[in-house]
Amino acid sequence: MRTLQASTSYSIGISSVGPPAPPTRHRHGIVAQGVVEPTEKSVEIMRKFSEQYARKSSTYFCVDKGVTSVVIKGLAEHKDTLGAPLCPCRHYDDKAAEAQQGFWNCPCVPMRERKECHCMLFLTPDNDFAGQEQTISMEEIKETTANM
Amino acid sequence: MAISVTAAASFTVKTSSSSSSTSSKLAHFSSLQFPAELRISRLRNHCLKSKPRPRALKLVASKKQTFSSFDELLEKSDKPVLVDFYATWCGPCQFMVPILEKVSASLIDKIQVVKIDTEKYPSIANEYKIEALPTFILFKDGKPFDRFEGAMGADQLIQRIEVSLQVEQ
Repeated sequence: MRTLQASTSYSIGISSVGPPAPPTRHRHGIVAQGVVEPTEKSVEIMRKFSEQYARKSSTYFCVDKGVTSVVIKGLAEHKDTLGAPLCPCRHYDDKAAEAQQGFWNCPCVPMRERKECHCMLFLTPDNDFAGQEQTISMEEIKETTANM
Repeated sequence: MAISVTAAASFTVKTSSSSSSTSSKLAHFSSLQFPAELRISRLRNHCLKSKPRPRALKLVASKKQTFSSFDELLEKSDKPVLVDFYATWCGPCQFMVPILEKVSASLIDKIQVVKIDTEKYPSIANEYKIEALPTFILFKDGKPFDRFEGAMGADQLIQRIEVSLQVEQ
């Protein structure tokens, strides 16, 4: 299974204004090449939540666990920065307001009401991308998001 | 504000035992490179760092162009532009990265592919009322012509684009 690729916009941007800065350590984790990583603690929380919620809703993770991993990290990142796991697969005018409001906090209303998860995190068995698993380990998350 | 666009040209040379001739294909995909405030990501050709496979070897050269805005890029493009609005931690968006490379190569003569990080360019995302990610907008003559959301396979995306391109405006 191929690891997911990510865009390298950050490295291009940095190089255009001067020599690339060395990775710095921030509250939210190591910043390498400009991609802010969520804290390990939040990733673990969202990992556990995802496994639990998949079981509870009888949904399954994507055949490509890389997708699952990226979303889990996205949820963790929002939990770190906004205090709530806002859906990472949406564009918002005001993230803080949305996190307060709650409609798009995972599990979002469309998921709770209609099992609709456009993040491809929780997939109903009939979905073409649904795999057979409702578990994902921290190792899998790390491996599949290693080159981001 | 000057913006430089890096158009990556990828040369695929296929050597297969079943054919005696080699064919080459040019794939162009661009990203807008804005200084300081405004940046659009470049599709990374992951084959740059991977080992050459027995059947295909990819080299990437890039060409820089300068535009003053996203609008100018749309205006100056001689082909319809497929814009991918994405975010770093959006799973389906990352899933589409290799698929877009494939689509870009297949439709090299027909479209230009551009990716926009909605977190880096929220104003552009707002302008086009982007909500779910990924959202793909196909621009013809600088105007949004077709629009669809969500991840899909390469064949499906190619089909969707080709059907759209055939529709008379």
